[in-house]
Amino acid sequence: MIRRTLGTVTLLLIAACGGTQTNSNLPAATSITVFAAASLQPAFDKIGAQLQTKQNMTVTFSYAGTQTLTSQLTQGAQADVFASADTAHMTTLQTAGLVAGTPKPFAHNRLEIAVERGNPKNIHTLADLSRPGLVVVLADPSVPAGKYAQQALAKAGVTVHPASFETQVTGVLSKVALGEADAGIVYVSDIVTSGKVDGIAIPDNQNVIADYPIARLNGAQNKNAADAFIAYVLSPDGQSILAGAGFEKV
Amino acid sequence: MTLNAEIHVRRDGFALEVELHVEDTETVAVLGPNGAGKTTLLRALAGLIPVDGRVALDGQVLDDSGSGVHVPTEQRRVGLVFQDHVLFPHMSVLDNVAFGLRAQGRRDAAQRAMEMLERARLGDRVGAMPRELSGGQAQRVALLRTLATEPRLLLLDEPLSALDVTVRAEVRRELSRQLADFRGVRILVTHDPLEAMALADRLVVLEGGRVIQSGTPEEVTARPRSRFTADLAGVNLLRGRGHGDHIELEPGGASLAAPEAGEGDVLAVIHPRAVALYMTKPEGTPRNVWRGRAEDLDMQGERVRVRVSGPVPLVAEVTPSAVRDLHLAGGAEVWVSVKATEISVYRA
Amino acid sequence: MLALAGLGLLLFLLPLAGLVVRAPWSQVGPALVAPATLTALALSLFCSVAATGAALVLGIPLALVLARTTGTLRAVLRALTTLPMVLPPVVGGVALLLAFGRRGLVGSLLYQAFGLQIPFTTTAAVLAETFVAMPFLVIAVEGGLRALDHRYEEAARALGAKGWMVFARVTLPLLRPAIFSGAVLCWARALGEFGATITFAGNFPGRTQTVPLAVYVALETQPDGAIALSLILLVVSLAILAGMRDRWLGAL
Repeated sequence: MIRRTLGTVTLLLIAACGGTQTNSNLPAATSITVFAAASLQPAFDKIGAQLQTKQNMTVTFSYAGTQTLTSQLTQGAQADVFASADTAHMTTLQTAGLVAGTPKPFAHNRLEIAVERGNPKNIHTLADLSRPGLVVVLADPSVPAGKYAQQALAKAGVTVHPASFETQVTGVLSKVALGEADAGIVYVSDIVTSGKVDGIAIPDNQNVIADYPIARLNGAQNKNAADAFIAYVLSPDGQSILAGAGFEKV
Repeated sequence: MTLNAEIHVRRDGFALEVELHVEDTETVAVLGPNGAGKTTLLRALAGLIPVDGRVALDGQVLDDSGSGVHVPTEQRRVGLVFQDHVLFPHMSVLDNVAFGLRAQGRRDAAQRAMEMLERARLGDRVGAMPRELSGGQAQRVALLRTLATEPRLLLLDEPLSALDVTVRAEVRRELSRQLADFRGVRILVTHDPLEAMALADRLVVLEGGRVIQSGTPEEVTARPRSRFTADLAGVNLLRGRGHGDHIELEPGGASLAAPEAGEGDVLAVIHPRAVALYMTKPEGTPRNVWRGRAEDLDMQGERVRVRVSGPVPLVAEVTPSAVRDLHLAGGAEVWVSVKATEISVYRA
Repeated sequence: MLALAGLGLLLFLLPLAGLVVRAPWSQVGPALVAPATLTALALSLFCSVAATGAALVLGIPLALVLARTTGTLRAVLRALTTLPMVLPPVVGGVALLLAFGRRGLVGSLLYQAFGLQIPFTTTAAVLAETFVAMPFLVIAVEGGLRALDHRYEEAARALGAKGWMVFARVTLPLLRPAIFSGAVLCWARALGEFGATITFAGNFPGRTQTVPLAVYVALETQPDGAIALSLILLVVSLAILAGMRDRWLGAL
């Protein structure tokens, strides 16, 4: 019985791996592959659905942390479009000669403090995060959200002692949502789409606005479709979907 | 010291029903074919399997299903010797022999074990690991390990059958010596008649989970009650109904003339030497004469045993020259004759 | 047949070769003695050894119980104990959070009674590794128990040894090869644990950031360091697994 279970799991794993990596064996005509920062998933899934109905374009998304996607692309992964959660990683790809043309900013994301529903610990400012006894989790500085959080804390002149440097923003979010952490610093879009935590605004003078750039990649199999996708993201329709997911318009 | 046991064990369609009384003045051999329940009986006496019934040793109740008494194995002071020594492979010979003494909390365990081993002329093997011992040595050490705890009840499960024939005699001698010195109840399980005869004062024959015969080796071989015991004694055993001067072997079938056949269900023993084979029909008036065919031969020293088929299948014992003269090796037809006075009949 | 075997071997060897070939050898040395590396290594060593210890203390009795049950109960117990082997470790981590987290089934009691919070502590990392790695030990020991000739235990009992003495002096020593190989596998699995740890214990240098986590984080900021760390993990695991075979067979 165990053996059969193992077999099934193996099959599932193989199927799962295939699911996220199928970028080359799709019908060529109007299908493209988009590598997008994990935080874009809710908005981009909608955009993909609209493109399917309106333009009969099949968009396959590969969502992951921006840093993971960047390493995959530099290691030769095939994709048509890259949507990054920060400019630094886009620059890395540009330097590597993988980006076609100039990346266009398509959304801004600002930071908020994520707290448990109802804010039981009465957290209102970044300074509150340094309160002793408070369990704060941040994204690891190697992740854009983590880097921005450090910048915001520096601007506010606050030193926090986090319990963990999560390797993904979703890690921060889930730990606050599960009540393991009292607070974390994440994107507004994360809080909007999560719906399980409350967001505490960070004033502009302390906040860091993340620029999300998008670009066609040199390895694009379908340049026109890739450009069409980018155009749709920048169009009023696309922008309003992004706004609904907590992003700010360009 | 006396063992009184009344044991019922039922498992997987097999039922063991045994009543056993053993005095400490005798060594009892439990004999029987494979699957007769010999090992189950030993394990029940050792307390390793639950029993229905009652086991008492020297007045102490070890098992009584009626009152729910069950003394666990480790408190029974039984000595178990297995077919293949079952020495602890991770302990030296000395530690193996000292194990039981240490379990009893004796401080002089190692010293006592050492003395025992030296007395058994195994003093040079104390530091050896079991895998470094010969089969005979290992079984001798296993015996010492068991005797060291001074058990009240010694249970030996085919102690010699895993040994080479050459060392078997040597270990049997030692076992015989140790059994003679042993103060307690001795039960030996075996399927080897020779072992049983050599070591036991009384045989208990087990077949299909029941005792079918019990007595001294002489009694058992003189009046076997089953095919197994008949084979053990090397005699022909026939079953039938007595009718005064003859035995009806099958209803309406072959019959044998026997002067003291009695009445009712009887057993008849015919020694193979009493079965005579002839080329032509023997003269005179022996009443038990019929035609048969020599089926196969078995050399037994100076004599040859011939299995003869016919209305009454029997084994005959003849000389090698008779084999030649009668062409028995070729499966010849022969005349078979048994003197009525050579047939020993007793109640079934 | 041979060709497929070769292909199978390649599947294992190529990624390792990649690691070795692409390793920035000049930087392996410095990366090795970098304080961050040493911290992660020390923590990994501590956590994996502690997890193996916990698995020995809890897993051997569990294997004993497993080996002595039969039928449906055994099937259920077996499935439960081996579940962590097939469960994605991240799922294991989430499950651990739901059990031992501040709001978890047991964790909430600890938190309310003593103000104790397990997640984000080294204890959590050990717990996560134990959860994922213990089945390897249980399976090995249970296999050993089933293969054990129980007449040794019967002989010991007949010699007057009580339950505990039989276990300590006879059963346990006879199980030594199985326990040893189980512990080594368990330890190796604990050493490589990533998913459950990062989900349940988080990632903080010196507290919960074990080598696999450090590798993952370093992959972004200093890929050379990540490869160096990976190499260390590779060499240690390989040495252990290769060494185990001989020791294991030698013990018999």
